Amino acid sequence: MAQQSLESKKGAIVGKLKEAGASGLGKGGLGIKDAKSLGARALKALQEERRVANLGTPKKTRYVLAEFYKPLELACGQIEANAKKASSSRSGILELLSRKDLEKGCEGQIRKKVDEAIDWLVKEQRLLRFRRGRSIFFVHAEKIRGAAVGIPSPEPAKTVAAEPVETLPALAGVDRRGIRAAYQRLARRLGYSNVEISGLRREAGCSMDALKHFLLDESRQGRAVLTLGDWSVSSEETRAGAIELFGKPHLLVRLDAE
Amino acid sequence: MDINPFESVIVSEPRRIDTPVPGLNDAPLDSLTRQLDKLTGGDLPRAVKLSGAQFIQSPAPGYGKSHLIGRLFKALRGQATLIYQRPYTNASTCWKSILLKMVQELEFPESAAAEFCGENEANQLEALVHGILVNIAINGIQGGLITFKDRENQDVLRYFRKVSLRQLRFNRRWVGSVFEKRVQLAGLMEKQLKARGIFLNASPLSWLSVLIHYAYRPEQYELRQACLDWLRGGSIDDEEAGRIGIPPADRPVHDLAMEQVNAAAKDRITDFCGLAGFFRPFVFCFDQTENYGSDPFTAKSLGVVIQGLVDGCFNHMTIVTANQAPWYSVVQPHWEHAHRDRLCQPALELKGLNRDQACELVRIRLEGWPPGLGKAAVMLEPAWLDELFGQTKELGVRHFLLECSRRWLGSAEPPPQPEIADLYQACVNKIKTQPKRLVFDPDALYWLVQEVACGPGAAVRKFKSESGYLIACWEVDGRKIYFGFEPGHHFRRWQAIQKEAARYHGADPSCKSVFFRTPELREIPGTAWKTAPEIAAAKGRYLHIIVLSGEEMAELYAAYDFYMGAVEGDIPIQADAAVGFVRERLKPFWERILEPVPEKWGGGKEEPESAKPRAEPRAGLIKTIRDIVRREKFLSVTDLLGKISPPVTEEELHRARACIPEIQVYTSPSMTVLQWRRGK
Repeated sequence: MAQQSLESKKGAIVGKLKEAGASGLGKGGLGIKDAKSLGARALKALQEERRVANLGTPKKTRYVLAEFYKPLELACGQIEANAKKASSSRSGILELLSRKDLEKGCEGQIRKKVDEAIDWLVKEQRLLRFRRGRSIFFVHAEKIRGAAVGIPSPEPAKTVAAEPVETLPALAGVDRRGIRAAYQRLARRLGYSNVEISGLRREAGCSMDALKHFLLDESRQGRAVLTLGDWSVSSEETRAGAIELFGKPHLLVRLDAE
Repeated sequence: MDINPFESVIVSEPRRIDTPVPGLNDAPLDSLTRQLDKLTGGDLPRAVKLSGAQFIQSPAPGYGKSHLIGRLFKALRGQATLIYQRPYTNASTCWKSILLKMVQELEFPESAAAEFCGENEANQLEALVHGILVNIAINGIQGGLITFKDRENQDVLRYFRKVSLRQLRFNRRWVGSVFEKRVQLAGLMEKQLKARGIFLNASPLSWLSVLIHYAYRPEQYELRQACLDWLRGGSIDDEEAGRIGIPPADRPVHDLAMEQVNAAAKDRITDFCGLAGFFRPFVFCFDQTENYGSDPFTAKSLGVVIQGLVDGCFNHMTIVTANQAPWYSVVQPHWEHAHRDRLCQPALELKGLNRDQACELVRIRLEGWPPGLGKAAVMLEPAWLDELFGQTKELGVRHFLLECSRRWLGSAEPPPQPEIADLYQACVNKIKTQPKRLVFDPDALYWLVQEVACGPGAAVRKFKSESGYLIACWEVDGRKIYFGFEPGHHFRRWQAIQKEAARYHGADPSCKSVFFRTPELREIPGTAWKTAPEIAAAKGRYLHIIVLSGEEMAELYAAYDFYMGAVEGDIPIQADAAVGFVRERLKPFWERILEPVPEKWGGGKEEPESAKPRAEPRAGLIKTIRDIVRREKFLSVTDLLGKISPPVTEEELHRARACIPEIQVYTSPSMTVLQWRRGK
């Protein structure tokens, strides 16, 4: 009986979230007030089944169906909107935006993806990065095209990916050889070539963010292959290594010989 | 007709795969065929063992494990006897399940090009028997143990090397004389096997008698069925065993315990592999292995099975496929070191498609599609492919097909998540197109009874009756329902089953015992059984024998496929949700099982259909279907049914259609479409 009502509650939550779409709903919107209520249990079960995810924070929740859980894409969208919106009070002058300006409106899981999203937009040449001293500023490419004639149109991603890895600011401090050596050791030990990104980080002893940047670049340049793996049977630690590609978390990587 | 050529993303029958993409996963395929070469050299009979089972590892679902098996089957046509093993569900009877599926697979066409034997087309078992017999004779002649007074040995050798099963089958004099001389032939066979260190568990005389009857006397339907029962490790009537020529020592007794039945099944498999030394090796493919991770005991049993095959059986290549994450998290951790060592390392890893291969896959899927839609160019647009492959140089095949599907439908967004009922219906439709699947499948039935059950109110427990005939039990509202899964047709065994059911009924008159039968199995009770009246009476009180029709089998087996797809990640729902849906969907089936009034069980007599031998599809029907589909290029099964006169059932249509390798089948929740493809 209890099983039945839990199932029906889960169905009701899914129904509400389907209706809400990408905007999602908070706990209040889902009618969940008590943490021990049937609704809370149903929601927890749906999260464990990975049918529902929280785009917000534990306090300020924003639950969406799994198909709408795309924090990187949402972060890109919000950042682009912020960058396009910014306009100088004086004509002929471009407004330089800081990271803080760009991340406005990004919360929870989306906020966590801001750095990754900025890197992505820079590589896509939709955002341009400038440096002055220690400060980094950004301008949306459309703003520049609007202000100056002769700026080339965006090239396909493949061309961008041809940029030498070492020159990308996000990869500063990444020991490329060290990571490749760590990968070789790990793959040899495990006996297969698609290793968990989280395992590679442990083996390489580098920071997760730096490793993810590195692997994304290697993937774009055809030296690494990111693979989905299986989220449903993966541990939290494994999931921490996920790199979002095509809106989906990729847990494994294979580094091919150069 | 609104058909999406990219919709089909799952291979469920390795004998019916799409044209492969050149270069994709060729390395693991080459490695497998090289391994098989090791088993095919040297004099007959061979006694070769590989160092371990071949392990194919996929980084994620949708990289083409089953497709690779399909390619291997195609590559090994005529070189190996091919056995595809879906997961078993009851670890206690694992060998019994494997043997049952093995015998079912042996009845697939020898050609491996189609799923169903056409008229006069040999199946794998017949080809194996013919190969064994001919090679025993050739060895005997070459060794001087068989001589001919009136003919030159060389002429006879030439004849045996060329002669086909069909030619010998129609040579009644030859069949009669072989059967008469089977004792001498068995002696010859034993001698040749012993010289290679192969010792059969059952006597060579029993094996030869059964095999000769099966392959060369197909017109004797009842005896052929009895041979199949014996090959499946089951007990058979003494009278039938006598007519076949099985000595008493090799007639499994009717009241074997479950462990003994399992052990007997393992012996039978070992013998089959030994005998394969006279012909060609077996290839066993254990696919969808995530499902063995359902509990530690089942996971461990797979390790025991692989070790048993690798260590104990000659002349076979065993292949295990796995998705990386579930394998290392829920299956392998339950294996002992000895089991793990039986998997060849390193694993053969599958890779995704590169850009060129992706283009080729699009071309393959669009081949034969109605032209003029202009969609082909859209699907091969460089900018779109650049966008996809600009981020990665490889994509999993299923991932790419889903992207293609989205583009074909002209949607920027991912296609909406299909309804769960549609996903299930697609499984039902797919099973209906696979006539070979519509046979007794105790694993699917056991799973339904043990894991799904009728509802939350039912207490399901693992159970074993005193004699072991009843292996599952439900307790619903204080009433007990026992279940048994018996494919055999031995009157004593069924008498014992009836007595055991009577014992439980005597102790608790509200209980009953349920057994399932399928149309290809013989009627219970047999018409000539002395115990028939007693069993018939029991059927009217406490022995509920449910004869499943093709339609019902499709529903039930689809439920199992649906669940396995969810476990494997092929179907985008959670396994628990799949179980919940199936439980609800199969309400009429549960009600049928729960029905307490025997008068409403469908009567004491089985449907007459079950007693009839299932004939091979008629050549005329096959030709009609071939002509229509070739002419029309594309048409739905409903349309095809409308064009065939005199009318046939959908099941008959699929049995005939399955003989035609050029016909590609597409199933969706709403319809099944047939496409003519040249050169398949």
